[in-house]
Amino acid sequence: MRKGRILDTLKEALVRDLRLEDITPADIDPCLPLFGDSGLGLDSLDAVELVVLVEKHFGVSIADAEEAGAVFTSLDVLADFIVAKGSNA
Amino acid sequence: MSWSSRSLGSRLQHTIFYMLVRLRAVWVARFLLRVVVFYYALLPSVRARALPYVRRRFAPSGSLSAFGHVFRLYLAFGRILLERIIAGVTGRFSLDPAPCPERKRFLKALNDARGCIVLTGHVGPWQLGMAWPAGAGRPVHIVQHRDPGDVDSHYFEHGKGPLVNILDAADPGALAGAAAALRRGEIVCLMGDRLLRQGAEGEKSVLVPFLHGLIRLPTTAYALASITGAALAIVFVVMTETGIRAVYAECLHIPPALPRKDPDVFLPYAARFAQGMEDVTRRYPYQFYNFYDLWRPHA
Repeated sequence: MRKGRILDTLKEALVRDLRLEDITPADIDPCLPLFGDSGLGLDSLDAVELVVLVEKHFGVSIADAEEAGAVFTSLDVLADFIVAKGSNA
Repeated sequence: MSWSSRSLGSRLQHTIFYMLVRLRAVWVARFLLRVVVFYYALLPSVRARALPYVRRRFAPSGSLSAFGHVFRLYLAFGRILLERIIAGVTGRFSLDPAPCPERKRFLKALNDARGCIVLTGHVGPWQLGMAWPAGAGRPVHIVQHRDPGDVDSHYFEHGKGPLVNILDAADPGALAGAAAALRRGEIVCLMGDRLLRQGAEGEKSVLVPFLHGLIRLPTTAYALASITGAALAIVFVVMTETGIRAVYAECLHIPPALPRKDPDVFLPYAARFAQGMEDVTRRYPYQFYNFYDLWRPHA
């Protein structure tokens, strides 16, 4: 799967599955930090949803907390990770 | 007064107990423990930390009676810390040999789901109790918070006993790591009786009845189960004359995809946890180790 399509899927899933309010997939800048006030403002349970979401949509598993910390920095980084893992979706 | 994991005793005191256990002078350590606990129970600031629970659980008739309960509570706590040192140094700890239907319930929940959250509280030898699921043959992860000044070593930090992976609750990726482990069918242990963060930025929580009042319990574990599809087992272990024994195990199946941003959806599950904890404190009154006022409004 190409990175652009992965990003589109991630944005849609993020808004729908994480029930983000007042934001559409098109509004999301993939380079924004996922966590913290300067970014999308996700919390630690949103990160849990992300683990499940990435597995469900792309068949890619997150190995551990360290890997989650490294790839859940922005959607852009996450999409690169999914490409590198060779998504089978 | 909120909770802290900072150790009451100094690093030197802990070192003395470790030294005595390493020298196989456990009986000396047990005697010294009584002296140390008596000294600490005399300190008003230390007594004050135990009194909110002592007053609700025992309704002491006077200050002498209250002192007696505080002393017994801290002594029981000290004994459990000593057992933890012995387990850490020797790699041995005794599981109560009596048949345990609670364990069967837990193993069934584990086999029925992809992963299992073991939710426990600061009751009995809770850290030794983390070894309880380790025998199920799955990797075990423990999400734990540690304050600076917490000088106690967990038994598994000595390199003895079952291998467990620690997930630092302060690490923003800890829960994601826990979710990844659950999706692989592994076991994640969490404490269900204390909020890791409080205030506006804090952990989501609900108020539930406990010992004639309301206490605030975190809902993170239930949300984690709902999101990942893992089973959730409420487990409390106590120290008996013959060893560690699980005396309460209740397996909950949290429906998937609950609207977790509203913590009240998890209220029934948190209430079950509080009820289970209260059952245990009624049967083992000196094995409840939350030394702060849980009932303080907005605590």
